[in-house]
Amino acid sequence: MIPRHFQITISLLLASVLISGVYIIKLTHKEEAKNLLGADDRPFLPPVEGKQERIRVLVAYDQDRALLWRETDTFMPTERSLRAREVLRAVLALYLQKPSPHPLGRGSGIREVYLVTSDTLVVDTTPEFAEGHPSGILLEEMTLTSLIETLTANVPGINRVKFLVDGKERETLAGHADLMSFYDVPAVHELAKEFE
Amino acid sequence: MRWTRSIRETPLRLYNPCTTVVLLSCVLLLSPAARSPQLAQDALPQTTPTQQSPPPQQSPAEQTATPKPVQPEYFVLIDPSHGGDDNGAVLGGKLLEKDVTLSFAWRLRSELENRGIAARLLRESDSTISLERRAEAANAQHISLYIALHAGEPGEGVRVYAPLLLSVPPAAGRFIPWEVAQSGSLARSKTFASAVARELTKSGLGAASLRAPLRPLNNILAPAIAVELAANPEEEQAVASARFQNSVAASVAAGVAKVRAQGGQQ
Repeated sequence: MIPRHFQITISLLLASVLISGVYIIKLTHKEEAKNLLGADDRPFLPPVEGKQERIRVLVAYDQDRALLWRETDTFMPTERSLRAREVLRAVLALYLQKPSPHPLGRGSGIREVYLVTSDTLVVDTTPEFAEGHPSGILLEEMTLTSLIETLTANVPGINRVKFLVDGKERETLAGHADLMSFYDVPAVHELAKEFE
Repeated sequence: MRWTRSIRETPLRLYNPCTTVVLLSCVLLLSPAARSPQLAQDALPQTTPTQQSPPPQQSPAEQTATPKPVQPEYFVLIDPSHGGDDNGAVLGGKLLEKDVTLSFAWRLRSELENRGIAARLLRESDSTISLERRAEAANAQHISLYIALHAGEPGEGVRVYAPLLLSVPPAAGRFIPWEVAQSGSLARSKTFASAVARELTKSGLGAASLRAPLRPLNNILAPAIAVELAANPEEEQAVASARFQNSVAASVAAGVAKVRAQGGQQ
């Protein structure tokens, strides 16, 4: 004779298995129905507010060993760090086109930009930005000066900038220009004057 | 057993694993491969002019008999940038910057010594030395001037760089931050850079005097400059030519000698 309390326990267990099974089948049907209707069309990232703007870009010209201000149109978000990222991407886009006034390695890009404090920015670049950069004091200085000057011209209030490569610190860009230190914007303004 | 006994009686007891590990460690530590890249800092600067090749090896007897050279009061540390695994720029697709800087360094040393200025190379062979190690070597030797040598595209002639500090040095204190170690010598560095650029221009070599946040210039306590031989992509072999390098070396040495003669002021 099976004890009564044992019968009750077995019954409860069987009931819970049955209910779970039904629930899982319902969930499966729901997911299948969703897939049949099409992919999830919710936005992956929140929409970025902004508009197309004409920005000033300090472009490096290797042949003339000079930096000159130019204008270009680009989508500019309102949020500061996104704005900084788009400005830097606009500069690199100019260097990656063919023919280029200042050729950089294929795949050079800006991965992310972090506004550490209200006036300090950390720029994370792709590995190709450093690996494919031509080595030489002048060329490396021109790249960094061009990026920082363009950044500060379009995103006011930035006083210090540091560059990372693939999320890590790196001693130099391509053997010469310092990447370990934070670049103070006034020092970069002085550097830019050398190329006028 | 006889076999066991014979092993036990071995004087060095090499069969003992611990002894073997200790002996192997000693061998590895004493081997040249285990040592860090050899800086040329052990060889103190010669006060007499020398030829453009490293001095011949002395016999052990000669080494013990030679008195330790006295470090002169004024000497220049020449740093042929890059080396070893770090090729630097590749000029014209085949010429390596590390080779150009090394050959130019020997010529500059010779020119400085011809003017009575003791000089030493930071590397005398194709060895890898980190930027931190270069600055440490310069700071440890209480040098009078540090000259980093480079070669790069584009352009022609020579570019002379004085350091540019990227951040404002803090108020005077007991310690100097590594990134702005140069702050105390910045004015003298600019004096040297201007004098060298002037001499190069005078020689008709075409010189540009610039400033740059270069490593390891900003980490060096003494006056520091960088001299870059500019390579025209169409005539990249020109920077490696003995004639060009000798002219540049003579002008750089003349600039250094002038500043030295005026007591560092110009």
